[in-house]
Amino acid sequence: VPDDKPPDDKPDVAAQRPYRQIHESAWGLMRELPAAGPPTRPMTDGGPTRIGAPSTNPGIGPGGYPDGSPTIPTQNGSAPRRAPVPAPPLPSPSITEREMQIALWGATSSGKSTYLWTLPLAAEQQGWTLTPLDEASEEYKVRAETDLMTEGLLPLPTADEVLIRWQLEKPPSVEGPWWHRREVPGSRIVLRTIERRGGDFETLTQSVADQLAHADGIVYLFDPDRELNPNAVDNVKFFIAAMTRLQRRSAELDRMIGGRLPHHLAVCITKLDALKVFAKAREGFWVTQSVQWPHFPQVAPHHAEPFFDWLCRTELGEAASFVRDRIVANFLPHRVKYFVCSAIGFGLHQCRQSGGRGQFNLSDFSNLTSEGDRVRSMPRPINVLEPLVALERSRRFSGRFP
Amino acid sequence: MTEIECYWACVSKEPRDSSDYRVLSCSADHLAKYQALERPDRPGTPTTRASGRVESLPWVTFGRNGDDDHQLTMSIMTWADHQDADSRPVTLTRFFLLPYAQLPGAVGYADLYRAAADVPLPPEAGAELVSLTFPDAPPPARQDLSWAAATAAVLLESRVIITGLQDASTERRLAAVDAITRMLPRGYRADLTVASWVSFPAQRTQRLCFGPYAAGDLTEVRFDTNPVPRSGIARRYHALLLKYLERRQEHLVIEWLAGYSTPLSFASDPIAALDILQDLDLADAVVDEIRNGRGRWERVLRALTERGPTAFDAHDLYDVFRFGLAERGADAHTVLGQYWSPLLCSAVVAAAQQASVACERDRIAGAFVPVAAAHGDLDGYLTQLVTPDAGAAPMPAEMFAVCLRALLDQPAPPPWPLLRRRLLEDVPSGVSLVIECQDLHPEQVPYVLNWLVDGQPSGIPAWLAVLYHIAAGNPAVAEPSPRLIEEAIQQNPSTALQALDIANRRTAWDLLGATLWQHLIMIGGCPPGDPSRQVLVRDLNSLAPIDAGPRARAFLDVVLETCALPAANPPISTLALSGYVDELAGAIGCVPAGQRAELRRRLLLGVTEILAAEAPRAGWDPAAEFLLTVLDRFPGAEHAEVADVIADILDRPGCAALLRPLAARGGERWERLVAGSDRLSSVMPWLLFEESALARASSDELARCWAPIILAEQARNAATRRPSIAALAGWPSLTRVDALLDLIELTCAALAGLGMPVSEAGQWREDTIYQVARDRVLGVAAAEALVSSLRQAADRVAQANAHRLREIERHEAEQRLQIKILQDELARLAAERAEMADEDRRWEEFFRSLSPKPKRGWAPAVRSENDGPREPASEKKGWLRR
Repeated sequence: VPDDKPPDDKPDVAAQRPYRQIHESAWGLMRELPAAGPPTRPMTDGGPTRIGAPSTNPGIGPGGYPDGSPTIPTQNGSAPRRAPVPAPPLPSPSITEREMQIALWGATSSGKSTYLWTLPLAAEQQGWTLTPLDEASEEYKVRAETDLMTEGLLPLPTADEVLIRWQLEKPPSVEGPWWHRREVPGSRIVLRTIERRGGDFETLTQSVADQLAHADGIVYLFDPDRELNPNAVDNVKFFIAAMTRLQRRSAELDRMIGGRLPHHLAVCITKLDALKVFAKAREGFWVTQSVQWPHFPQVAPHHAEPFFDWLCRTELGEAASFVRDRIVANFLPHRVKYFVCSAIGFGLHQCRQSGGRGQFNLSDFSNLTSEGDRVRSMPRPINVLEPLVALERSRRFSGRFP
Repeated sequence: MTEIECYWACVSKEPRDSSDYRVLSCSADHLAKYQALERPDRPGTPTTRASGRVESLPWVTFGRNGDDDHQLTMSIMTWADHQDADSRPVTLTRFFLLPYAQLPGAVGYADLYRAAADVPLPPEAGAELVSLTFPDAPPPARQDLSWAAATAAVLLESRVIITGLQDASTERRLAAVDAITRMLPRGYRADLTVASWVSFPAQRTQRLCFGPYAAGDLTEVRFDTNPVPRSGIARRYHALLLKYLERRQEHLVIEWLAGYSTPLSFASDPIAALDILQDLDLADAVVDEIRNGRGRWERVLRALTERGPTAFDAHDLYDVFRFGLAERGADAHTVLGQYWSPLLCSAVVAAAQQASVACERDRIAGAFVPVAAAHGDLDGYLTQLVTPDAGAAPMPAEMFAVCLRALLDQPAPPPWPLLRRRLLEDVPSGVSLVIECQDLHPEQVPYVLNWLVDGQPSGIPAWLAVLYHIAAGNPAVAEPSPRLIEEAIQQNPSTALQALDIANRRTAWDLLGATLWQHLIMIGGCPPGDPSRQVLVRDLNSLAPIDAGPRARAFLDVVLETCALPAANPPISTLALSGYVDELAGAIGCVPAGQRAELRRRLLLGVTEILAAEAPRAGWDPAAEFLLTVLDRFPGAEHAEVADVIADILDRPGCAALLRPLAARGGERWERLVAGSDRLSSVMPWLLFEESALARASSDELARCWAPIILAEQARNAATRRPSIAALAGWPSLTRVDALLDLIELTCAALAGLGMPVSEAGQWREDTIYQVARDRVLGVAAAEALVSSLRQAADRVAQANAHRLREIERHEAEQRLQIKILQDELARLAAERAEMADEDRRWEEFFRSLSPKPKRGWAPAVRSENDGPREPASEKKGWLRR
């Protein structure tokens, strides 16, 4: 339910360069970079591939298609068109299938609850299904979607922890242009995480330490807005104790690999939609614009790590650099992924454009109301599902389970 | 009003705070403790800031302190007036630590909330405590008690979440919690955790909470529907609660449960609640268990000691007493004695009456005698002991035994008017008491009779007058008239037996009188299974040793005199002869065979002699009838005694005539008796032999009778009677020539025919001839006749021998001639055999001389090819060669 009222506290973007210029500059810069791919290509263009499945790069066999599937000749003699072949259904989940235990780690109000709050929505928008696996998870999903869709409410500050078990599943599909149709097998992530308050990572109970130590992957939410707020406590306060305890517990569990933590880590630089954070990103020319509607600004996936590096090093101060350095030093490099996220995404301008669906307006991009407790329009999460997919892929590729 | 000081803490965020929730302030230095206590009982994250919804704040939770001091925690979560750094609403949790033991018993969770809801907390941490004020008599919880009872029962077995709230306020929820917890022992509050609302119920730990739905191990209870407990304990607990609610005794059960404030645990003591409630219900439960056959003495004991007899109504208490007596028997008096009452008295009497074993009856009834005496109710108790219910069977004898013991244990004759009146008015009771006294303490019978009569013999019943006359032996007491005796026997059929017993004790049978004796004889004539007859047998068996001496003669005189009264005594004279002898035989049969065998034999013999003395006038039939009746009434093992008596009678002169009626009337019975008795089997042939001899029987008949007698005499190696040969003294043919010798010879042959060896039979013949001829046992005439017969016989033998000698000589001459002829023929045959052998030898030599002897020449070692045909003798041989 979009908020019809104009935002009271509009971001001061008039003094900045127009977004189109930024886009064009960035786009030109990207084209000059030899190793970089198209920056506007969405991460999910190809969809998540099933990790561990046989390669889906088929060589063209003498019969047309390597798997011998029938072809449909065209009337005008053009290249034969492959008949759509339904992909085999995924086996139903068994109770023995190992859940991926994800620890959501972050400071107070870093967006952990909002991350989970918008995850069902993000999954739905990207063609995934999200199935709760117990009553609490179901209640959480229902409440999140109800509050979000009916009243645009964001979660209240977490007072107690909640165990959430969701199954994320993407059905198999056939993708690609008609001359290169390919089957994309389905994918499944059985997520098990605990939503807890950020203060727990400060007081550091045994439960927190155990959760971190036993987790398969960690989604670390780094809130740059907190660092940019001089009155707020730094992220490092919620990081140091937990990291130290995580190291000790992992060593006790004999899980360390070469002196480094074995966890797969997704570092999420949150709140891209926040005024100060977005401004910093723009100042560093890290923002590009998606080619697909609603053409939200984004930091390209392969720029996320440099962006985080640049942000910590140049903008956020020594505490943030400390966090960044500790991450680099203590985790296996190939198991750390970086994402620039926004759980609620940007707001769409009220003026109906682009076929009546609305369009991003750089002068009024915030999706929060002036009170800050609800969204103005339906959230379009940015890089909310991707960290989980990346963690799952990384875990499967690692060949071993932590 | 009760004021309690408690520790407190405030958990929230500061305005515009970028940190998380924490203890902002607290009393004293309990920060760490609050942090530890606050965490486990968190109700979750609020889900809405709106008000008026079921999930809206405030949320109130009650927890427990894990320490042994059993402190109660209460936290009230409300919205703070400020926001955090992200403009998010902030909750304010006010946390209290209450001393569980100091809380007034009637204070509930709603009262705690009311007391703490508006209490301001100090702005900063400090040492001061917060005072909470509770009313002494809080308002009662307005809640559906049946729902609360059912929920309390469910709460015993599992965690409970209450759902289905529409608009229930926090106070109403806590009132419901109070209603539930009032249905549980108060001690469970030390373990109970409560939340007025929780989010994500599956991940909360409260034992009782309100929430949106059930999950995990939570059992859902609808706010508007009574739940149904599942486990056996919970269902029983629920049933007990409902029972009191249906009786409108909810205040009773609530007060009872509130009295158990010892901390209890739901996990480890789920059954404690049931036990506690069953304690309240113990009286009823015990009665139910007893009536359902599942009673336990320990619980009965516990119910009596803890709840007292007033917890039972009269009917139930009676059942409890009955159960205790049935379970513990006489041992119950140590416990039940302290509850002495008419109910217990009745229960004891009933229990003793229905005990299956006599000794147990005696033990139960006797065990409570001291109890009744201690309570000054012995007269009433003993009276009840001997008083059966209307229409019920008479009291067992053991009751009277207990009465008797109690009576005899008194140092002096007790007044006991109730018991005495009862015994005098109820003849069976009085008689039973006297019988027991005769059985157990016979020497005390006079004392008991005197106690019963109590110095006023004029107004006593007839049976007692008769017995009192015999027992007292007081000349001043008038002898009972036959009419009185008849009346006494009508009242008490065992009067005669009791009188006999008393007379036996005193050796004063003359006091019995003819009337009582006749009744005794009538009793003796009853069938063997008759109880009165058995008593008579017992009494006769218990007679003093009177087998010999003047006392025996006195007893026999009395008895035989009584037996001789049939004609004189009107009651007996009207009886038929057979009936009289039947009773007489039965009465004699009552005398025990073993101990009193001699007495019985003498009684039998005496009666038979009396009847035999009447034989010249009445014939032998009555005597024979009597003896045969005795034979019928006596068991088979005792028939030998009868046979001996008959043999004794038959041995007497002039009594042999009894034999014929016995044989004629007895039939097979008589034959069996004779066959089974050595004396009779020897007497019978002798009598028949004597009778035959006197009846001019032939020698042949006499020999057949005499031979068995001789065999029996030799078998015993001595004659039991006079020698059988003496019976021949009356034989008319004794002096006739050859008659006696024929008899001896025929008898000798009969003896051999009966199996006696011939040599012994010959020896007997020789001995008998010597006895008659030389010893003259049968007189001179018989001796001379026998000798004459012997001489004639010798002559006949000599003539026969001469004739035989001549025959032998002639036969010898013939035999010698035959021998000569045979010898000549044998010689001729031998010569012919030698001649034929010689001729055979000559022929053999001749043929031997005719056959030539073959020459022995050279033979080639190897045959040439012309030595004969080379073809094989057969195809098979040829194949083998090739």
